[in-house]
Amino acid sequence: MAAIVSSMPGRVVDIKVKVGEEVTQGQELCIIEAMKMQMPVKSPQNSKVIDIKVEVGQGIKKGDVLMELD
Amino acid sequence: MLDEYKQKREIIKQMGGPKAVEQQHKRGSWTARERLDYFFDPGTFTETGLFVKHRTTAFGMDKREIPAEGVITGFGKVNGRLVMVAAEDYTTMVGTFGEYHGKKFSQTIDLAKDMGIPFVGMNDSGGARLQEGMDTLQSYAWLFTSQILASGIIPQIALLMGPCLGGQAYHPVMQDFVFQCRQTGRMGIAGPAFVKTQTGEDIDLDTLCGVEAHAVKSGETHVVVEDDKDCLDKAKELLSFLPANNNKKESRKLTYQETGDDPERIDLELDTLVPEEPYIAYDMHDVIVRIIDNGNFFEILKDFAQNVIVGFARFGGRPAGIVASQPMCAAGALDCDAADKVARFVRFCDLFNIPLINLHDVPGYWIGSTEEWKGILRHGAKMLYSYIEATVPKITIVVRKSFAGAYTGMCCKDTGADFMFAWPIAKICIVGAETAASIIFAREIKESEDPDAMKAQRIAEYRELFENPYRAAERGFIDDVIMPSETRKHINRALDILEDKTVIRPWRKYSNINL
Repeated sequence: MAAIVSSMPGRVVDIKVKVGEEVTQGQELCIIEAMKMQMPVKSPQNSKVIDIKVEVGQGIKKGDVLMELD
Repeated sequence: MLDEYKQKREIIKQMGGPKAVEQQHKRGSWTARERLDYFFDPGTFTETGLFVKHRTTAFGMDKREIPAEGVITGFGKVNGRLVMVAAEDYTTMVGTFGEYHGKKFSQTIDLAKDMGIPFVGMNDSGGARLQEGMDTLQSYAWLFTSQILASGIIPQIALLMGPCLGGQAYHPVMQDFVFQCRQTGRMGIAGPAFVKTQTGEDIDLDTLCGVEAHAVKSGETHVVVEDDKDCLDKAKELLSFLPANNNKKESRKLTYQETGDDPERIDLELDTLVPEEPYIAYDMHDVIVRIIDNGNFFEILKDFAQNVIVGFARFGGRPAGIVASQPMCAAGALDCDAADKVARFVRFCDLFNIPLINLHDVPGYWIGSTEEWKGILRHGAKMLYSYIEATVPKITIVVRKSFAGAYTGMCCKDTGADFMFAWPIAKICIVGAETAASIIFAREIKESEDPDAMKAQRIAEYRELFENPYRAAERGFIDDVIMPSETRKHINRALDILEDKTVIRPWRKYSNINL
């Protein structure tokens, strides 16, 4: 299991994967936005999405878990 | 007589003897003598204090021989330039720090300061020599005093090649740059055993005091290196950028190197490298390597506060310090750690007459409770203080965004930049259009029949009017709007004209910077 955490506080503007989806290393999982910048959150490994903890539009803090990968 | 002399000298030079040396090698480390052999140009090292010996008698210490007091001191040449050194030796009573061990350190730094020669310390010590009691503590105080009085006069570099724990760790951390060997360098105010007995916290040495602890978390380690060889190579590389001291123009000239890279070289890729859309992130390193000589960038604090990039490079052969936003990390916005990182780097460059090149793509200081309560105002203030007080040549390039307090905090013309240029995609504003429009037209938007449409219209108007480089250029806040591909040419021409910049200010003891 690998937890994908947010590197900055902000807001989720897009979620690019679904639960159960196979993802590859470097693939964009979601996009968070803060201070006028959109930051793609990328998968650190080849894996599978187990759980998505956030919704589009949701506010997040630094360190919040966005997704769980296998 | 000569035989006795030769024999004494030879015994001391063996340091801890073959067995201890073998153990040192097993740890993956070199001995202090091996390090110095590699560090200095062949045949240039002169040792001082070889025969220095402790005077402790307690606990059988009167019978204990500690060759060179566990630290080798002296001077030699690194790429032809003088450097003074104190290298601790773990093979001799595990390099413990006692009265005379410390005295050798402080005498070396005192001489380095008086002669204007850079100092390099190599830390590899099991800690305080407790058998010497308060004499050891006094010696810490001598060392701290010597190094602090030398700070700003000569560059001081700490190489953490082994452990350095306890009060002694204030020595490396108060030098200008700290290098840490990944497998062997460990620094901390207290080791795990002491932490456990005093606080109950259970933590291992590597986690508490290793490279992750200091290069990533605390921001105390400036450069992470793989092993002794890598450490010494990188220290030599850093030294090549630094003048010998703070007051010799000649010593700065010695840092100039012919790089063979045309100072007016055009890089067409820069014209399309940075996305015009202000919300798309990119890696500022790609810009830096294209404008400096041969792409050779020596980054400082690479793994800490990555929302800003600082480091040394050359322009037309002359060293300069670079401070750049990193949009790829936390939007390139300035938080407390980033402000500390920039401020100390700017002050180092200013102390040693190294010009500063600032690259802006910054939306502002980080806002919100986390940073507010950490003290973003007082940390951010350090940047203002350091840039405004710096008298070295300062050149700022607005690559894309330069908004709000960060516009002044990262050095604009009115906070000390001698030249400020902007790329055509630059947006230089007090705030972004969305924020501005939603405040100025709040009532109008609220009372409108279609608030969303009204808001969008007002944002577009504000953006059209202010989100560009031309309003700033009209008022002379920037000197020119330049083609990105010609950035290097403009920096080099500005550095040429600023070469002999001199600033004289009224006397004061020092400023009351928000420490």
